Amino acid sequence: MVDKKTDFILIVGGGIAGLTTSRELNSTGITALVIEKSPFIGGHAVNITCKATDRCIKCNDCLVEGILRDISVNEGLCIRTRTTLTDVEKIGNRFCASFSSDPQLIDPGKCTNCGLCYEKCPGVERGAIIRAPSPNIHPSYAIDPFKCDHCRDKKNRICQAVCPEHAIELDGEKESWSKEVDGIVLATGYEPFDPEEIARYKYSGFSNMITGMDLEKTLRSEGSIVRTSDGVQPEKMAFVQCVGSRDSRLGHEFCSRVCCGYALRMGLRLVYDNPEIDITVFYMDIQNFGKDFDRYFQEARDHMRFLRGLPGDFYQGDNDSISVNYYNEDSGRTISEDFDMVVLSVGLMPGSSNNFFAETLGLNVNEDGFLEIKEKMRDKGIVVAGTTEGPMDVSESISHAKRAAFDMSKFLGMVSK
Amino acid sequence: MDKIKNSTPKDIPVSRRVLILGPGAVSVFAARELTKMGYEVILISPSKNMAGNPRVYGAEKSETTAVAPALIEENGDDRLRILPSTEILEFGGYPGNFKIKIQDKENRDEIVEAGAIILANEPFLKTGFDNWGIKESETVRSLLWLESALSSSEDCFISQDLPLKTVFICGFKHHSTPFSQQRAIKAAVKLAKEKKNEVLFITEHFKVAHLGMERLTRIAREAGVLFVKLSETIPEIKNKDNKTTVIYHDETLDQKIKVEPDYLVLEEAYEAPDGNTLLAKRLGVNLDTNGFLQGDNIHNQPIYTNRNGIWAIGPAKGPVSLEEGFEETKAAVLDIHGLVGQGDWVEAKGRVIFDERRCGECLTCYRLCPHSAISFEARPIFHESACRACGICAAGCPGDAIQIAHFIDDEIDTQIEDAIITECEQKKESGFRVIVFCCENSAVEAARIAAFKGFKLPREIKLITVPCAGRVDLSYLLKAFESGADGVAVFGCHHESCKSVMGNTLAKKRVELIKGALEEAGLEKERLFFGSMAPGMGFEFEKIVTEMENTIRALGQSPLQKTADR
Ligand SMILES: Cc1cc2nc3c(=O)[nH]c(=O)nc-3n(C[C@H](O)[C@H](O)[C@H](O)COP(=O)(O)OP(=O)(O)OC[C@H]3O[C@@H](n4cnc5c(N)ncnc54)[C@H](O)[C@@H]3O)c2cc1C
Ligand code: SF4
Ligand code: SF4
Repeated sequence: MVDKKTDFILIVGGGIAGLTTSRELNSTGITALVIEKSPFIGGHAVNITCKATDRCIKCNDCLVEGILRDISVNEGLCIRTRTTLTDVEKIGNRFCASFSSDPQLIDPGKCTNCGLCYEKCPGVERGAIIRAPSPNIHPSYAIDPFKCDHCRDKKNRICQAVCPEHAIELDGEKESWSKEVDGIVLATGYEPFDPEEIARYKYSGFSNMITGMDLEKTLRSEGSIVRTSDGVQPEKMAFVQCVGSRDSRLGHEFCSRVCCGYALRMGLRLVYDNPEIDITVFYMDIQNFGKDFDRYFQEARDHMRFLRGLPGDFYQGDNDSISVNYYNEDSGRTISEDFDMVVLSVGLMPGSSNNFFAETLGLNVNEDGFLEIKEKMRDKGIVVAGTTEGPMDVSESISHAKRAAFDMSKFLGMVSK
Repeated sequence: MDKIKNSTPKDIPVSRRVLILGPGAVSVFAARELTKMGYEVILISPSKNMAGNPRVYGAEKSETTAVAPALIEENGDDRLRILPSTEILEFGGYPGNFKIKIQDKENRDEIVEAGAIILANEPFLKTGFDNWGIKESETVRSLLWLESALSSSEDCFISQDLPLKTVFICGFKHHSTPFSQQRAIKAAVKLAKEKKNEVLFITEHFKVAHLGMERLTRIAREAGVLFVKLSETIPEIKNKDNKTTVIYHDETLDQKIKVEPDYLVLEEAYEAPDGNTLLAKRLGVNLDTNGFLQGDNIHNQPIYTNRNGIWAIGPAKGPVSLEEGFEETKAAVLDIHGLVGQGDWVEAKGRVIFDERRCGECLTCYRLCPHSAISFEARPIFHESACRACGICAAGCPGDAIQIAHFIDDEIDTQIEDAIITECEQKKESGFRVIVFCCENSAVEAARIAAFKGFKLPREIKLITVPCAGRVDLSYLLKAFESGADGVAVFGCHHESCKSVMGNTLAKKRVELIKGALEEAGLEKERLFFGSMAPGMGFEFEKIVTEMENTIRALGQSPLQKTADR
């Protein structure tokens, strides 16, 4: 058994899985450090929108907020953003992990999220100061050293001067550091599929073609969706399912499991906001998603048109619309139909760090590119949490992360009586 | 208000025993994990078979044999009691200390104690014959039958002359699952590859949202299984004189196709076990729309129920894979370890403050509590391990004997008065003032999000936080009007999303009730309303608040206001 006082776990990735794991480990009495490469914790799930209409349709977004709130009130957690793992070495029973951190610039201990820096910064448009997607993320603001005037040419320090808490220090430097840890939790998550990889979609060619992730983000931050080209609300929209998933030509022989759920739920939400909207879903098969699937699917069928088979081609239509070519079963030939907007339901692809972990820690990636941890590795103090292991939704990521915390506590001898 | 007497903190003996409801591999796995950690476990199942049916998870027998029977054999362990053919008759007590009356097949009953409960019973595989209005016969078979026939030595799938024809039908009359389809496709591959059958697989949707399923459909195609997907029509099945005909409309060819298979195989539906309705009632746990043991409320996700101390995992919630079932087991075990693993507790959180002198022993609180946190022994006893501090009891109590810490009546009254007084000055400029009671779980969050996005709450509108909309009792609403509010609102959660099950429904009812009273008193009923929202709906909050602002502005000052002005 390990000396309990020194137990220290490293969690790589501050998405919903990594955060849940740290919360759970903490409640078992184990200290964990979460490192997150981006400026904010929360991962992809903080960008998804609540899809409730006049009732909740169980999309899980609020579970994310709940965990962020737990994290923000839990003093015992250590989180370091803008940090990546550069190397890991095994030293006896422990690991020596090396990190590289960009300067944080805002001291979380002092910041009260008043937002004055954001209000006064002349570079907000450019992204010099960015605001978190949720008020439950602390600090809710981050300064991008690469876009900030001061950090670039040491000119003005408006935010630093304006902050009433003296929480901002713009002279921070990049830092390399290392730490010995007893175990490692890999929670680096997934990457949404990049539709540029499929030429047929001509994704960058259409201003009114967006991904499911774009739609999630926009509904979350704006409350409604308009066309990028003219700022007008779309009246006719298409969702194209399985973009990047279930595609053997790309070598992606797996279903991403969440896309039917998010697309149909967002569709229902759009119909609720605008009952006149005309929505078509191009699909191969609809997957059961979450609780009460029958009811939501039936409702979706009542309000949207479902066409089996994915479209073949996309062309520029009149008035910035997108012409979609698809096989029409009634006429038995390919027809072309214009849509104001097209949403590509992108899937969950393996995270970009998986291969690095596989190499440095001697792990396996499975046929689909996700990390696979055998019982053996768990006994050595390495576990995975969340979508690092494969596509799952938020609720599943949470129980998966709790499982990771359980395995880790067990490894440390903390859960036996 | 009189001085309130705090409910005295007391030591709660915590039982380190866990009761697990099976049958099945997941329940057995949970029992094993817990006993390994040193817990006592009682594993019960209403059926005789404790190991359950591996097919529920789409798994082959061999994959689960390793877990279930092995443990059942380990039964020598005195920490583990395995009780087949046993049911829960009565259920009482509180998280950390439940008392459960169980009864076996011979009607022998016994009261056992447990600190926590895990529900992990398996769905029931219902054959599809009735749904299709046909009978099982030599040629019409269930998938279960086929699987056991394929694993037995007797061979009825190879014919001397022509290859046999088998048609599989999945879904249509019920929603198919990845687990049943995994089984069906595996069987189809066997028939095509090993038995050289002609196999036709008809379904509405491939259910591939499960590890390895996409690959499996490809393997099946390569093995020669012919797949047909129907989007708009349902196949027609006829069975006469032991001859089966399947007619379907092929969508790609736009043609009616007729097949006469040697075997027609129907997938089973995964249904909630029959006993769930009664069991749920006894346990005080809500069912979902399909009858599984986890109510359709987002607050129950991923593994919770409306009762503290009772976890619903894996198969108890609906069809799942074995891996997910095992993961959720560990998640629940971790929680249980946190709840009962640390020894006796001192119940001193004092979230519920009870004034014995005001209690009329009317049992209202006992009946109202959605979390079964109150017992009655001459007076109500509040069990904090079960309590979620929603305050539904406090709002219901006719004697005002119950208070919730941080939301004491006096404090709320002061807040109401402050809202009116501090805004009295503004009232002169703007002409109205509105009080909104906001549920901590939804409206307060929505308001924060709206503020974060830059929404400025009109100065005339004052928010008062309540633990649940169900805490808002009639007196709050009346008090607000009496104090001179021109408009009052309660913002709670959407239908079916209340963390305390029915707090929102109660609030809505109370609002309706007071609306009637307002009209009698000569006030427009539009001055009071109930708004529902999800915690993420910052924009909705903004919209409702703006609408309300406009309504009240148009109505002008409340006629009651004059009496309230001092
Ligand atoms: C378009 C879309 C819509 C969705 N909608 C829903 C929905 O409605 N409901 C639902 O339940 N689920 C939905 N999902 C799924 C949901 O996003 C995931 O279940 C969830 O985000 C998984 O969380 P995670 O922590 O495993 O991974 P992630 O969210 O990917 O988090 C991983 C974190 O690790 C960080 N990281 C990565 N590499 C490193 C590194 N090397 N060092 C340090 N940090 C690193 C990342 O920056 C990130 O913060 C949706 C997914 C998509 C693509
Ligand atoms: S589950 Fe989704 S729809 Fe329901 S309240 Fe939460 S975020 Fe909104
Ligand atoms: S506050 Fe709610 S949960 Fe607690 S005892 Fe009262 S009604 Fe029950």
